[in-house]
Amino acid sequence: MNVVLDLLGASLVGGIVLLLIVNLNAYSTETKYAADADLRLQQNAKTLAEILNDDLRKIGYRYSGTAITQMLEKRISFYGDINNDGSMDQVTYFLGSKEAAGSTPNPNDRVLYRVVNNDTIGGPTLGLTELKLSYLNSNEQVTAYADSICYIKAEIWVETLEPVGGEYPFTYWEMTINPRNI
Amino acid sequence: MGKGILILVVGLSALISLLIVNLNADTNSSLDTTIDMYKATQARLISNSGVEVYLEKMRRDKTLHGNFPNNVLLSGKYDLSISGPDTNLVIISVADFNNKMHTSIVNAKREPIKMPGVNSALYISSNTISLHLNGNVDINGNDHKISGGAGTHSPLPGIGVDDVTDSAYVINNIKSKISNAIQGYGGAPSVYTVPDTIDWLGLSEEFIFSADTVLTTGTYSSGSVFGTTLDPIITYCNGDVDFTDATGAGIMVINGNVNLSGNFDYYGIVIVYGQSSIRCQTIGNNGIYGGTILVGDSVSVESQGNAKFYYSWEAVNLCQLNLKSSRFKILSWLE
Repeated sequence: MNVVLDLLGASLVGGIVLLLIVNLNAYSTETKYAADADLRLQQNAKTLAEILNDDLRKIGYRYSGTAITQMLEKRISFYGDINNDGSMDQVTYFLGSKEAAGSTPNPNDRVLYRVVNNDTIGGPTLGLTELKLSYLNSNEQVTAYADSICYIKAEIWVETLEPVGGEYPFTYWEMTINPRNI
Repeated sequence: MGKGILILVVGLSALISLLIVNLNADTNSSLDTTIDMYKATQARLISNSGVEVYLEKMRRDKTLHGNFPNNVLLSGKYDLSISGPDTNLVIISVADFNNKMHTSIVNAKREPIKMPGVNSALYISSNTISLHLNGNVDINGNDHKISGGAGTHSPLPGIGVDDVTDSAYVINNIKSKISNAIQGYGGAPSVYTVPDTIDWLGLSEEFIFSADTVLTTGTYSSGSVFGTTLDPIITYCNGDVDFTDATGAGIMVINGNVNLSGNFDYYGIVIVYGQSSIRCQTIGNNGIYGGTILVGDSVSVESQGNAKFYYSWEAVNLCQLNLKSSRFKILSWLE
């Protein structure tokens, strides 16, 4: 009789422990997925910020005229020797449509296009959903005149490519760049 | 039974540890992403700051060129090189912050010195002028070469002042012997009103910013050399100074009173200025070849002995050609 009771007790405890492990595993998998998504979100935002930061800092490098030729909220064109090879480059950044990024599960993401001397590079969306460029003068006030631009404020909104718990977590990145050659 | 429980506990611990390590891996990667961005930004800042630091050093040392490795800054380091002539300086700064590198390439040129136009051998700009000219003072607006001979450029007034009241005062308050010694444009006494719109205080500040030598109040005697005709410099005297047997060439800006005695010779431009009153006293065989400018609310000039104030286009031009400013124009900055 005692042996049967021991077996029953052990099975009960064993069952509870097993249940706990299964639960823990499920929680861990869910957390891991969310953490992975969050990490990718952060890495994508950083990559986008680095690309923009790197190019916008070179606006007007070795160019003597007014370097910025187009200054819109979602599009900028400028001159600068961005690869430091002695030849002038014309660079344009613009935000594509949502339809152009239809291959990802996220319905809001878009492709940031980078056109260098008429050579267009689209690349992956990296979850970018919105881009806002502001052009500021020396008093850090918004200006409409290209020759008075001293700072460019770039704001980007990036979402995860895949939903996490039915939603698309997002991050916001803002940077104010002072191109030294304008 | 005891062994079974032990195995179970160890197994569970291993499983939980694995889960925690897995979760932490993402946290660490996330942290790495942030730190990587921080490192890149920091490397860029160090690199750019390195250029700024050396531009400041180049302001003070106008011949600074070469390689300057391992400069420590903001917990990182940078190597810097300066090459090229003053008209096209190339400054390359390579920063290293925790193995994250960044290179900045800057092209700059040293701006030329902004020279004032010399309008007379001795220009006095003041509300109150006081002249005590004695001895064999010689003020000459005719062009002189540095070697002493006559130059070929047009003569200027011997003494230039701001208005007719001042010119009348000068003419009426000097002895006839001295009057004959004020040569230059129009003949003796060559004292004229000269057009002058120069902000002398502002210009003096520019020269002070670019000064090669800064002197404080004191006596500078035999052996003191403040530039030569081959290597003129900008000298700034902050306070009252006495020069005895000293020599110099370039531009000398004196913010205070000045006493010249013995055999003081200077080639270039001497600007004596002050917010209130200034006194310029000469005793002995002094010579200023180029242009002398005295600016202040109240200016007093006292001379004895053989003081010479000669206009010299050659001496002024020498400054224009050889003096370096401490201002740079950035032509391009790659970061």
